[in-house]
Formats: sequence, C-alpha cells, structure tokens
Amino acid sequence: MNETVFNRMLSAVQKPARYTGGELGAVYKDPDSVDIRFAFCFPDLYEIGMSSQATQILYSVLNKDDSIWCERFFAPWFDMREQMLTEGAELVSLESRTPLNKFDVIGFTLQYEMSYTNVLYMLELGGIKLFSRERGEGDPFVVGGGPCTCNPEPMAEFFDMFSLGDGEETDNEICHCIAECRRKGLDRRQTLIACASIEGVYVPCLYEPEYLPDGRLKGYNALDGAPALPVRKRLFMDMDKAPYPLDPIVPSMSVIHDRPSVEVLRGCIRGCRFCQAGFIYRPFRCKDASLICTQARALIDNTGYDEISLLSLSTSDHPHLEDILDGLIDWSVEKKVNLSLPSLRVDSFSGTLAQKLRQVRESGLTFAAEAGTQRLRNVINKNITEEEILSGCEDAFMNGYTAVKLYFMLGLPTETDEDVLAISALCQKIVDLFYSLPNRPKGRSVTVSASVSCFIPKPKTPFEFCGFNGVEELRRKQQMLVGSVRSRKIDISYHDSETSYIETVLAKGDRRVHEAVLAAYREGSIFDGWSEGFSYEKWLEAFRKSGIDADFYALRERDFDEFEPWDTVDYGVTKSFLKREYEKATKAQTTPNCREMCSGCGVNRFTGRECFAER
Amino acid sequence: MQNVRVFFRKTGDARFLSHLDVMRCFTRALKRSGFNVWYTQGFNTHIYLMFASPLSLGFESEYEPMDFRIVDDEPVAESEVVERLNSGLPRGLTVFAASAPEHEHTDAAFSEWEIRVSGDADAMSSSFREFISKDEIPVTRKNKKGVEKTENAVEYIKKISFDTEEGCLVIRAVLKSDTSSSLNPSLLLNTFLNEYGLRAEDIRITRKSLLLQDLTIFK
Repeated sequence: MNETVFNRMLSAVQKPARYTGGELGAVYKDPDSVDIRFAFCFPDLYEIGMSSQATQILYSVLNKDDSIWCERFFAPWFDMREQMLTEGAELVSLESRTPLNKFDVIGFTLQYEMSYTNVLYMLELGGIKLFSRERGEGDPFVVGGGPCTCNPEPMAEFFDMFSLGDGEETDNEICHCIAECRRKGLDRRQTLIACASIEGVYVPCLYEPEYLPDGRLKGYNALDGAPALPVRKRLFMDMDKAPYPLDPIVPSMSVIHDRPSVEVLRGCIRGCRFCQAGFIYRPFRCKDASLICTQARALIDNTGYDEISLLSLSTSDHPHLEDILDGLIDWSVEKKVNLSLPSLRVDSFSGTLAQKLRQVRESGLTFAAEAGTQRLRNVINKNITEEEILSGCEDAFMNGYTAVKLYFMLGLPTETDEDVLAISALCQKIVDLFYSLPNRPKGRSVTVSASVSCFIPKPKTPFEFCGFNGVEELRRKQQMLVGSVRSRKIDISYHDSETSYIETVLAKGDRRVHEAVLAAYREGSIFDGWSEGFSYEKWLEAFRKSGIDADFYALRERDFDEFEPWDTVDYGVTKSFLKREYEKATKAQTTPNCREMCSGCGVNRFTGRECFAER
Repeated sequence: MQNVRVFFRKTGDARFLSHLDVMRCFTRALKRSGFNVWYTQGFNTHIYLMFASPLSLGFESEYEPMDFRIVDDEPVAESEVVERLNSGLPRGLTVFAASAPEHEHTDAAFSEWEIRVSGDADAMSSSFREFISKDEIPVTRKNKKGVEKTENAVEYIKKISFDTEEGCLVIRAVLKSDTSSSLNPSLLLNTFLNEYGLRAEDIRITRKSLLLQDLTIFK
C-alpha cells in the first residue's frame, strides 16, 4: 500500500494505532520463505480482537510453523472506512500491509453472530468474492472457526470450509493440505475434497440441503467425495500439551481485556441449560496446577503486564484451585501483579479457600443468578439458591463491600410474570439484608445492580427446541420489572430485545438465511454488536427484501424429530441427551453436575472414556 | 535510589501511539526489564515515570527524554538499560541512551522541529517565505476551559528556515516549549495552509531535539 495514502488515512482517524501493528510479540517473516500466507481475520475492532485468546493462540500456533506466515486483520471502524472509501484503499494486514486478496488462506473467527455482517464487510474491503461458489482457481480459501460454527449454516455460502471445535491443530493442517494440493496441481474442488478429510473440517458446498414443503429442512444430500454427515468437531484432549503462547502479542494501545490470561480448564461440568458454551466445549479438561502457575509467571515475565487473569468457564471447578492460589498469591503480591479470577461460583468456597480469595479479589462482587425464582433456576439448571446468594452478599458486606452486581435473563422457557417480579424482589432482599446488618460498612449506602439480558435459545443446548420470547413480550417484561422496583438502591439495566431477536435468527438459521445477512449488509449494516452500527430497521428491511421469514427461525417451537441446520455438525452432545434435558427442564427438575454423576451427554463417544473415571 | 534518564526515538508507526500508550509501553518494558524500579507510594501504586515534554499523537521524535528511578544505589550500565528496555518495546519506540539526569525538566525551553509537507512544494515555499516574514502571525487556540485565545506566533519562534526537497516543503523551526507555554508546530502549519488555501498531501512532523534556554541540548 502507498505509504503517503496510508499516513493520510491514519492521520484522519480517531485511534490510528488500531491499524499499524508493530506491537511487542508481533511476528514478521520473509513472505518468500513461506508456502502459505494466512490472514487471521477478527470481524470486529482491534481492541476486541486483541482481547481474545483465540487470536493469540492461533497466531502463535500458525507462526511457529516455518512454512506459514499468519498476519492479522480487524474490521476498520466507521471513520477508517470513510477514509478507505475516499482513498479507494483496500483492506491490508497489520504486519506487512498486504491486501487480503493476496493471501492463500483467510481464517475468520466467528465469536458471536452479530459479527456476521462484518465478515462480508471485511471480505469486500479486501477484494474477495463473497460467495464460495464464485471464488475460483488462485483465489484464497475462506475458513471459519470459533463457537458460532456449531451452526455454520447461515454463513455456509460465504465460506469454503469450517474448522469445528478446538482449532489448535486444524488450521495448520488445512494450510499444509492446501500447499500439498497446490504442489500436486489439484484444482479448487479437489483441494476442498482433500481438506474435508481433515478431522474437524466441514466443507459446506459438498452437501446440498433439501427442504420440506412447509419450509423446514428435510436433510442433506452428500455430493461425490464428501464424508458422511454429521462432521465431528475436533478435540484437543491433553490441556498440559495444548500449545499456549507465553510470548503473546502485547497491544501498544489499550484494549478491552488488557492483560494476559492463562487458560486453566476447558469445558464445564455444570450443564446450565441455557449456556451454549457449557455444551459445545465438552468434555471437561483441566490443566495441571503447577503448569498454570509456571505459565502465569512466564506470561508476566515476558510481557511486563501488572495483571493476569485465569481463564475458564468456571474456575472454581478446577480440582486443585487451592494449589493454584497457593502457587500464585504470594508471587503476585511480591511482583505487584494483580490476579484476576473471573468465573468463580459462590457455592464452591470452603472456609480457607474463601480466605485466600479475599486476598486477591478487590473488584466488586457479582452473582450470576440468571433467574428470580428457584423454580425457574431449576428449569435452567442453575443450581444456586437464594440462600447462597444472600449468604454470599452478607459475607461481602461484612468485608466492606457495598456494591453487588447480579446477572439475570428474561424470556426463559416457562417464565411467568411472577418469575420476572421475583428479580426485583431478590434485589430488594439484598438491600434489606445490608441494612439489617449491625456491622455493615458505616456511612455508606448499598448499590444492587441487576443486568438483565434477553434469553436466546441456542443450538446444541436443551433449549434449542424453544422459540425466542419475542421483541414486544420482552419489552413488556422489562417495563414491568423496572416498574416494580421500589428502592433507589436498585439499578436495573436491560438489553435491547431487537438485537437478541436478530441474534436468534442468525444462531438458528439454515443455509437460506445467508440471503438476509447479505441483504442486511447491502442495507449498510456493519458492527451489529455495537449501538453505533446496529439498526433494527435495516434488518427488517433485509428480511423483507430477501424474503426470509425471521419469525420462522426465531420464534417457532421445534419438534424433537425435526432435522435442524446444526445437525450437520456433531459437537459431542447427542440429540437424545438434549431431549431428556429439555423434558426435565419443563418439569423443573435439575441435573447434577458431571463430577457428581454422568448424565450421558454423549461426548465420551469422542474420547472413549468416562470423563471423571479414576485415572 | 538513583534517577535514570533515558532518551528514546518515536518513529514510523509508533508516532500513532498516544502519550498514554507510550507511558503504558514503558511501564511494561520497565516491569519486564527486571530492574528494581521505584513505585509511587499512592493508593494506586504504579511505576514512576516522568516525561520532559509529551509529544502529540502523530508526531515523530528523535529525542525524547524520560526519567525513572532505580531503588538500589548500585550503578547500572547504560548499555544494559538500553538493551533491556528495547527488548520489551514495540517497533518504533527505541531507547538510544541512558544516563543520570543533567538538567531539570523545567530547564527545557525549546523544541527543534522538522516539518515535511508534501504537495506543491514551489507554491508552498513562496507562500511560506511571505508567511514567516510578517511581524505578526496570529494563531488561535482554545485553552482548557474552551475559551479561544489569539496570540502572535512570532513570539514563540526562536529560529525558522525552510527549503524544498523532492516535492516537499521542509521547515526547520525552533519553537518555544517550556512548561508554561509552547507552540505546537501543527498549529503554525495549519494556520499557514489555511491562510494561503494550500492543501498538503501528507505531513510529517519530527522533534529533532529538546533545547535549553541557551539553545544547547537538554541532557
């Protein structure tokens, strides 16, 4: 790219450091020395993308390979977009400022559905044909990965292949396979078929969907050379051997999650029925406690950060959390390093553990209560009781805390108005508790904030059969909830139900939904996860223009025996398990966590052993 | 306890780092260096860093002093400071010297700037000749309260010369930049471009050095 033009553009935007690269830890190679140039694309801002462990892990794994150079791309913010359009500039990599269309493989990480329009935005700015079928010999291969690939169908027309599950090994294998096919002189179709034989790779163009007269899916026809459906996700079982970057890229500008992280475990034993991550990342695998400590120290030594976080879906479920804390607390005090431990459950602290945690935890206290009544918490299998929440709060108040934050959802299956009103009642109980304590922090007032999101029934969860509650109905519940608050100490904030509705369509859509994504992009939708970008009107217009019936995807209750778009891919949990869990949910019956009892989710078909057998 | 003054360059893409970003980069580089550095003693304790004259976003520099403290008295080798810090800094931030401070920050009086403006170099240079020959060059800026104030830039210009090079107008100026008042070179340049209705293709502004009242180098 012309340097003068680039300088002019950067001089005109708000945060130019988003686009320059050159950070400590960024990798530069001689492009002629590699077989494959890999474009790692994060379809959101630099500050978001650089906060993701996926970025750090894949960048490191790919660049460790001498035959590959992985460079980064992020979505340019509105001010940069304007500059690029004015200058007629293409999207270029951070490292070598090479245009996207000069790369061999383009890898997008799909972390959330509302980034889908940004995928099209980046492809188009990079001069890449949007549809897989339009791309020909010599064009890059576009690969998708990340949690959203557990239903890849709405984006299937735009991608040449998807890497399902743990990506530590798959991306390198795809690169090697493509390089090998090129050496052999195979054409694009043959290359795609070759890639389809890599474990965890789903090549959507090899399967044709067939629909019933009522619009539902009938199934898929596999074309010649296609492996049988469903395609299994890739698993990396031994967390102690999982490649983990200890010299990550250190962003020079401030980013959202501005600290290194050590992944302590993958998967979750809890089985909260609304939580997609809790199902798609099964089975539960943890890293050795001493390795976690070694990695944490190395990360601080190599980066110079003064804060580090332990990363997982539920850190307190690590069987040796106490050893981890023993290994890190004194070190962190001595090194003046702040230890941050998100995702801790209140119910799992023993006395001594609670004592240790108190030394490191300085931020406010948060509880993921998720629902207001015990009945509804049982429905979603969130096994936390009101008593536990209240005793956790009491403990916190006695230790000088005066602010508590709670997370809830509205629109959960079987929810009644009584459940909604119980949210404000619970908040009130916490306020009352504070004032009932004789030893409460003196001279200070209490704040109870409740953050209330809209429940989205996601694929691969027991609620995949359920419909979204509806934009208007959720609005009614939100108003009712806010109206029921009687104390100024309680602060309720809620999410916009329109975004959640669109997210549901994108999460549960089939292959035809790509037309709505494209139409929304053509209407000007980008950065849909941002209030600056999201426009409900544009999406409604996109559904009208593309003839996609959004309610059909978002609101409809689905039959148990219906063939779902996400049945093309196997993430471990079986349909029969999800049905059982759904039925228990409707009866408000809970399921014990995996460590207490195996509920037969099906993931051990992949591993060939019981998850918690004596080793 | 000893004070250490390092001198660094901020060049290339690093010019797009804000002053706050630069501070964070140096904080991490110092933490990573393993030197026993001094932390401020306040409620939010952090590594003590002091910059002589913060640089605007977008400007390059070949001479940026920054001070920190090492807790123990045992002298550290200059080369070691330079090497350890550089291994922890992003591209474009480069430490090139370290020493005990010679002058106080308040002794810095002027900055020497090089301003490269690409565009119609001939038109720009004849206009610029006229522009700087005036006795009064009014420049308008807002103070912290948002109140506009017009001043005579000539009072802030110690030396100024210009030349043309490969389609560029190259201005070399020594402008006042002490702790009480300073003139930002981009304000002077924009006043010039606006007054003559000129358009720049690209602008590069570099601080070449920091000077004392007698125009010798700040060390």
